[in-house]
Amino acid sequence: MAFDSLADFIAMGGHARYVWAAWGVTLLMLLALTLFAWFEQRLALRVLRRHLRRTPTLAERQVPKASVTLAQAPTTQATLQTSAQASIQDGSQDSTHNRSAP
Amino acid sequence: MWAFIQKLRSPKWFYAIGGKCQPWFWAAALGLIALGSVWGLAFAPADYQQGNSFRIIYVHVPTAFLAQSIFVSMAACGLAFMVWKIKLADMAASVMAPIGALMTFVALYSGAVWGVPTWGTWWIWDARLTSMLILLFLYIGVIALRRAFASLEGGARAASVLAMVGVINIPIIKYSVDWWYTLHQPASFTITGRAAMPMAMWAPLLVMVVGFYCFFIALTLTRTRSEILRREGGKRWVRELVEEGADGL
Repeated sequence: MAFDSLADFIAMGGHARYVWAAWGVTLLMLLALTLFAWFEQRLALRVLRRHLRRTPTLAERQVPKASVTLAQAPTTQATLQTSAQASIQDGSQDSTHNRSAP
Repeated sequence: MWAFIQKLRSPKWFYAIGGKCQPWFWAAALGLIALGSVWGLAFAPADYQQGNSFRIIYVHVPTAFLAQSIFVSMAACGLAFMVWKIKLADMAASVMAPIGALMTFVALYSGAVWGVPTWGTWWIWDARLTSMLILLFLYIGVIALRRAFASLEGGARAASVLAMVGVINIPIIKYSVDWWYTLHQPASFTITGRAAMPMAMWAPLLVMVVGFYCFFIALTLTRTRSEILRREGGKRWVRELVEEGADGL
């Protein structure tokens, strides 16, 4: 131990303001970078989950694809348009494959 | 070796391996920096000339080392991106730049604070100080140039070129204390050769330097993984990862 007491340690032999100013800012930077990286990761995951919720899942994308094209093959332009309008109106709905159909 | 380089191209591989490695680097960084701080602040003997103000060395030297090392790694990533079109290298370079800029700033700041009791001035246009200031401007230039482009690809290319050109400043910083010997002392910390300071002062500095490098590696792993999620969000493997719920958090 290079110091006799805690007060001695804090005083840093009269250089307290320099030592603590340099150390304080450095440790603060390390802490800020760590917290930033943590929040950044959480945000990236949250944005990604929100994005994926809006697009059909892998299972959804594969299964209905074939049935949709078969079922909708004989429909006319008019019915396609009304279904497009309907899907715009209830755009908040989570099942997304009718949004991508038209 | 070639197989390893091929793997390095793959963000999926990096995301998985990085997720496994990062807790170890974070733990090592925390442990070493805590140990080095207590050792350097309380147990290392005071300098016979500078007294206790010399303890600033334990934050000044690691940040200055990292400031330069990060720029070299950024330039290496820029080279890998330009030559082999490795997108992962550019992702790493883009997250490194702000870390390096902050390290350069803190190195300059702690040097200025140290200069007041030791040199009697917080700033002088000494070769070492000036070249470090240029390094800070180069970092800011790399960050700004990337953002100045509308396309990701354009910004990545411009930032890579500036990093590769700017790396010429690194040997200038390193040898500035020998070429233009003015105020800043020559290197006092070397791994090889005779140490310029006693063991009791040198050992905590080594602990701090290694700890700061671990911190940089941990931070880069974490941030690069976030950047992968941002850029590769539409890819199939990312979706599979999220749907399985194994996103490494």
